[in-house]
Amino acid sequence: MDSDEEKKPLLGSNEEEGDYEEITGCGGSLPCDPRRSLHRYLILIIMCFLSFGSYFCYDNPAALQDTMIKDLDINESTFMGFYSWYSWPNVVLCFFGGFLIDKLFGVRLGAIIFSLFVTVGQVIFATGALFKNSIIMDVGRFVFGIGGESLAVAQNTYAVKWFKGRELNMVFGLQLSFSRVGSTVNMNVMHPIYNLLENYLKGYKCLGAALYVGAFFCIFSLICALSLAYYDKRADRILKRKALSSDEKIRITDVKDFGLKFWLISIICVAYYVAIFPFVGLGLVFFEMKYGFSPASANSVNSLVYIISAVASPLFGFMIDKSGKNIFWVIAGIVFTIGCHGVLAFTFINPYVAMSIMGLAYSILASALWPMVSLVIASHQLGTAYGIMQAIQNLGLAVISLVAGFIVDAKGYLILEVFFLAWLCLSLIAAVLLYLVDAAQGGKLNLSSKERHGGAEKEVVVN
Amino acid sequence: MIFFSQITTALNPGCNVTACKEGIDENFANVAYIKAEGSEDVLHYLLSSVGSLTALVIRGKPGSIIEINWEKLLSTNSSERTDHAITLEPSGSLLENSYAVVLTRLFEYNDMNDDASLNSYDIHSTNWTVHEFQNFGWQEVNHIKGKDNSAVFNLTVIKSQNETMDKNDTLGTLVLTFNAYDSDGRDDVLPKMEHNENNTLFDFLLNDFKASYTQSRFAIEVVVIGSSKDRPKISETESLDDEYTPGVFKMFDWSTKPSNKNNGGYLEWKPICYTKTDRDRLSGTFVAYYSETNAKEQGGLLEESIAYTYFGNVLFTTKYSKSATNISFGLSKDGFYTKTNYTVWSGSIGYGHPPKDAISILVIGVISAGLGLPVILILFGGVFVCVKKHMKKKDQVMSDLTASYSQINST
Repeated sequence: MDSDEEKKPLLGSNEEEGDYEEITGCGGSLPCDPRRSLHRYLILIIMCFLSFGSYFCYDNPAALQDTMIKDLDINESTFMGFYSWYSWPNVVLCFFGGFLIDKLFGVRLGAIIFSLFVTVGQVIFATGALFKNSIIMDVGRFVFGIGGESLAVAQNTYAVKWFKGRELNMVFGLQLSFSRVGSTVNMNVMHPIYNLLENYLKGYKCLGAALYVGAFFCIFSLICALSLAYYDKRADRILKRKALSSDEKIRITDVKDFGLKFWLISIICVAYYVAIFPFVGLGLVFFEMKYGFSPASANSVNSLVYIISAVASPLFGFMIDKSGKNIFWVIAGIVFTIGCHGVLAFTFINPYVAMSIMGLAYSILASALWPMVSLVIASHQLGTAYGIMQAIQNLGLAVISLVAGFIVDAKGYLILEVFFLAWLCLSLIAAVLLYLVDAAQGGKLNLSSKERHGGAEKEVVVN
Repeated sequence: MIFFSQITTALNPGCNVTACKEGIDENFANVAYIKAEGSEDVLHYLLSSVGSLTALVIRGKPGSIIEINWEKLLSTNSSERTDHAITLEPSGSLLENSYAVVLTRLFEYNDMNDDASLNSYDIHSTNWTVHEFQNFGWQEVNHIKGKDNSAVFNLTVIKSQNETMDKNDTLGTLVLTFNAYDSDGRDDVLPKMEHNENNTLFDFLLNDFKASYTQSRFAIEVVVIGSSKDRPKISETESLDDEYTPGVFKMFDWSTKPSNKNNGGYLEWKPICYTKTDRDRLSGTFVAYYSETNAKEQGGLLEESIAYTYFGNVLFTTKYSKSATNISFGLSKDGFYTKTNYTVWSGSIGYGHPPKDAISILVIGVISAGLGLPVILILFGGVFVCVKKHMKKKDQVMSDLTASYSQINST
C-alpha cells in the first residue's frame, strides 16, 4: 500500500476539505477515487457482501431442517439448539464485539477477525455434521455466533464511516435487504446443493459436505473484509480521515454517558423488533387457522414482511436521505405497524393487506432508525453503541420469543396480538419522547435533509 | 358420590344376556345410559356400540325413564329389533325433537399428494380402506376412573369376513369417550369445549391404530338425524378470541333444527384435533368437513343403529330428516397420521342452542390495560406538549418585544 505512485507530494488546499493526496493512473480514475461517489458505491457493494456469508450460513439449519433431523438422527429440541447456541451468547457477545472494535481492533481488523470467526465456526459446524456429532456442531454455532453478530456491528460502523451525511439511510436499507437476500438465497440453494451432493455421499456425510459449501460463502465474505480494510486504509490516507483509536480512548464506563437519546433509540428498537420477529415466528399457524389458508399460502403471507423489506428498504432509505426528518419516519413506521397488528387482531380482513403494509412500515423504521445512532454518538464510540443496541435487541428477541410462545399456548393469538400492540405502544411513546427531547436540545435528529446536509459539511470541516 | 344436579349414568342397564354380561369372544354389546333431568324435560342419552356407533338422545317428560329389552335389541331380525327393544316409560311421555348422531364408517386413505382432502381420491380406488363401525368388536363399556358420568368404548377387533383380524394382532385402539357434567364449565384439556347440563362431551381417539399405508389419514362418516322436517345443517361461527383453544378461531355446529336452534339437538366441534397425548397448539392439526348429503346412501348402515331400533321404520320417512357428511383429520404437511400414530378429536353433543365462545373478562381487561394505558399516556403527553409549546411561543413573543435580540439555542 506504500506504492510509489501514491506517494506524490500533496497539493495545498484544493477544495474546501483541505489537503488531498494527488492520485494518478488508475487510482485517480472515477471508480477508484475515494472522493467520488462512484468509488463509494463500489465499496458499498463489497460492504454488503461483507455479511453475506454469515447471513447465508445462519439459516443453513432451517433450510436443511428435515434432512438435518433425519441424517443426524436428532430431535426437534437438539435442532433448535443450533439456533440457541447462536443467539443466547450474543445477548452479551456483540456488545463486547462493538467495544473491541472501538477500543482495540478498529473497524478494519475487527471486521477481519469476526469474519474469521464466522468462517471457522461454519467449518467446525460442518465438521461436526461430518462426524455426526451434535456437540461439535453446537460449538461451531457458538464460534459462528461470536463472529456473526459482531460482524454486523462492524458493518454498521463501516457504513457510518463511509456514508455519514450522505446516503446513510439508503445504505442501512440496502444492508437490511442484503441480509434478507443472504437468507433467501440460502433457503433456495441449500437443498439443491444437498441433492446434488447426494449423488456422491450419503446421509450425514452429505450434510457435512453441503455445509462446507456454506463455508465457501464465509470465505468470500472474509475476502470482502480484507479488501474493505485495504480500501478503507487507502481512503483514510487520501482523505486524511482521522485514525479512530489514536487520541480518543474509550472505556467501558463511557456507556453511561451515551445520553438519553441513545437509550430512547434502543428502546424504540427493541420494543419494535419484538413485535415483528417473534410474530413472524408464530405466524404460520395463525394464518392457517384464523384465515383458513393452506400451509403454502400461509407461508407466503408470513414471509411477506421479509420479502417486501428486502425490496423496499433501500428505496425508503433513499427517500429518507432526500427528506431527512428521521424521527417522523420512525413514528410513521410504528403507527402503521400498530394499525396492521390491530387489523390482524381485531378483524378478519385478508392478512395480505396488513402484512404488506407491515413490510413497508418495517422497512421505513429499519432504514430510519439505525442511522440516527450515528447522529447522537461520537464516531469513536460507534462500535460500542451499535454493539449495545444489537445486544439489547438480541436479548429482547430471545426473551420475548419465549414469552410469546408461552402466551400463545396458554391464552391464544388474540392476547398475543395485544401483547405485541402493547410493545408497539411503548415503542411509540419512546419515539415521541425522543422527538421532544431532541427538539428541546435543538432538533438535530429531526432536521430535514437540507438542514442536515449543511451540518454534515460543517462537521467534515471540523474534522 | 353426591350429585347436586340430576345426572345419573348406567352402563348396560338391565343387561340379562351373555353379549353384554360376559361378552361373546371377548366382544361386548354396550349401551351407556346417561339421564339428565331438568325441570321441563329429561334428556336420555343412549350411547351404543351395538351396530353402528350411535348417540341417541330421547327427550322425555320429567320422570320418564328408558327401558331396554336386550334380547330384542340384539336380535338379527330387524322387525323384532324395532318392536319395543328400547322404550320410553311411561308411554306418552315422549317430547318433540329427539335426535341421533350416528357414526357409520371409518375411512382410511392413502394421501399420496398430501392434500389432506377426501375429495382428492376416488373412494373406489385402491387408496382407500373402508371399515363399517358395525363390524367392530368392543371391550366392555366402562367409566373413566373417578368420573361416574362417563362412558368409554374401546375397540378390540374388526370382525367382518374379508377383514377378520387375529386378536393377537396389534390393532391399536379406537376409543370413544363420553362425559356428562352436572355443572357449567369447560373441559380441562384442549380444545376446552364448554359443557353444561344439556350436553355431553366426547373424544374420538385413534391411538396406534394399525395404518394400512405410510401416508395414511383417517376420516369418519357421520349422520345426524332430527325428528322434524327441518333438515340438519352445519353452520360456522367465527370468533376473534381464541383464548380457550389457542389458534382456533372457528366453531361448527350441526344443528338438527337450524331454523330454531333453541329447540334442536346439535353436534358441535372446533376444527382441530391433536396428534399427541399432551395436547398443545403445535400438536394440533386440522379437522375438515365436506358437503352434506341427505344420507340416502347410508340407509343400510342406519338400519344397524339403535336410532332405527328406537324410531322404527318411520326413520326413513320424511318425518325424520337426515344429513350425512364426512369429517376428516389432518392438514397437508402435518406428517400424516403415521407421524405420531395418534389423533384425538373432541366435541359435544347436546340439546338447545350450541354454546358460543364469548370474549372473556380477562381478554377485555388485558386489552384495556395493554392498549388503554399507552393511549392515555400519548394523549396526555400530546396535550402537555401542545400547551407547553403554546406557552413558549407566548414567552418568545414577549421576550422578542422586550429584548433587542433573541437568544440562540446552541448545543
